[in-house]
Amino acid sequence: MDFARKILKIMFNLKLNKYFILLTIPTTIIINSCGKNFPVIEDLSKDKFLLVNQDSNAVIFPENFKNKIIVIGYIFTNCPDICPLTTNNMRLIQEKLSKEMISDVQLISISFDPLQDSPAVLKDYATIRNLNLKNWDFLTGEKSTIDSLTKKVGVVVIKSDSTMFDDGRKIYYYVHTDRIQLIDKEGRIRKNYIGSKINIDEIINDIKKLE
Amino acid sequence: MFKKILIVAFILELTFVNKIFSQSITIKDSWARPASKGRNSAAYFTIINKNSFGDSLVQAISNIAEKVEIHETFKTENDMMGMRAIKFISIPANSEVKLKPGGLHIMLIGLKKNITEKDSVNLKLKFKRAKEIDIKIPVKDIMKKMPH
Repeated sequence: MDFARKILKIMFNLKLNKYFILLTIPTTIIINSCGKNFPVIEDLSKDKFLLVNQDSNAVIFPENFKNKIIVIGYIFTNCPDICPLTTNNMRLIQEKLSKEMISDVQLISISFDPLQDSPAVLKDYATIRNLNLKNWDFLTGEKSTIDSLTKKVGVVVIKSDSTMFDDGRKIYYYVHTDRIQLIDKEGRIRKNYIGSKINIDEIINDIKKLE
Repeated sequence: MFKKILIVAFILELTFVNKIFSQSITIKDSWARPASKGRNSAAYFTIINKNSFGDSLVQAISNIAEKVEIHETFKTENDMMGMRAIKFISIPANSEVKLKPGGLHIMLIGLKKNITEKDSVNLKLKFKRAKEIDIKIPVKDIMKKMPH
């Protein structure tokens, strides 16, 4: 009863101070959106996705990258149009991080087409584009693992058109979420960006806030 | 005699019309993405139609890939992107149509060899009305040089 009375008193006081309310609400919104406090979109800290990188080394995601900020993009290598834009944006992020001497950031590109994208295919994809793999891993894995991962991180992947070769081989294209994500050092997704159109300065500033 | 004149006139007209069509469509700013053997690349360029009538790009042919298709990238809700094969690209009269990343492109599917920045790709473009055009497209990692 005492508690209810206190709440009513606070509300009464606030009602009297409408200018105070008008001032504090926008200020709180601005502090929360611009400050360090990005909302946690998804917590992956307890997850252990067993994947392999372009060198066929086993990787437990995100556990192996703990204490690093992760910039992660989602691609499939048979996509010659949108996914290269995302990959190129990852490259631009890497270059800007280097220029600003920000270390402890890991870049990851995950293929959501693991049946096509073996480690060797991912290695070729990176090599032909002269990508610097010093702090950048291209990951693939079992289809069931990739499916669980994409579901958990909110990346939607739908099989769509296909091309049939003369010898009967068939490759598929996908309608998919155009996504780059920022993951903090504790393995929590903190922000989503449009992979092919990301503002490089925006994500660099966001990384600085999470450092 | 009159019949002969008619035939000559008809041949001359055909030649003239053909010449107009072959000159009226031009291609500029072409490039293709680097990609490894067995994978896919995309070719981009601008089609310029100076004719007073529309045309369509109906086919692209190249010996660099197992298949060549005309594709478009499309956006759906919730930041979803996809691409699909289309039968032709319309080129309105007196216009330019740009094939560019995130939009219309020529898919080079199942490359027969690696293509890198030093290479070029031969492409034959077939139109509904204009004469076919052969172009040599440089392979460029053009995005690397793009300001952001």
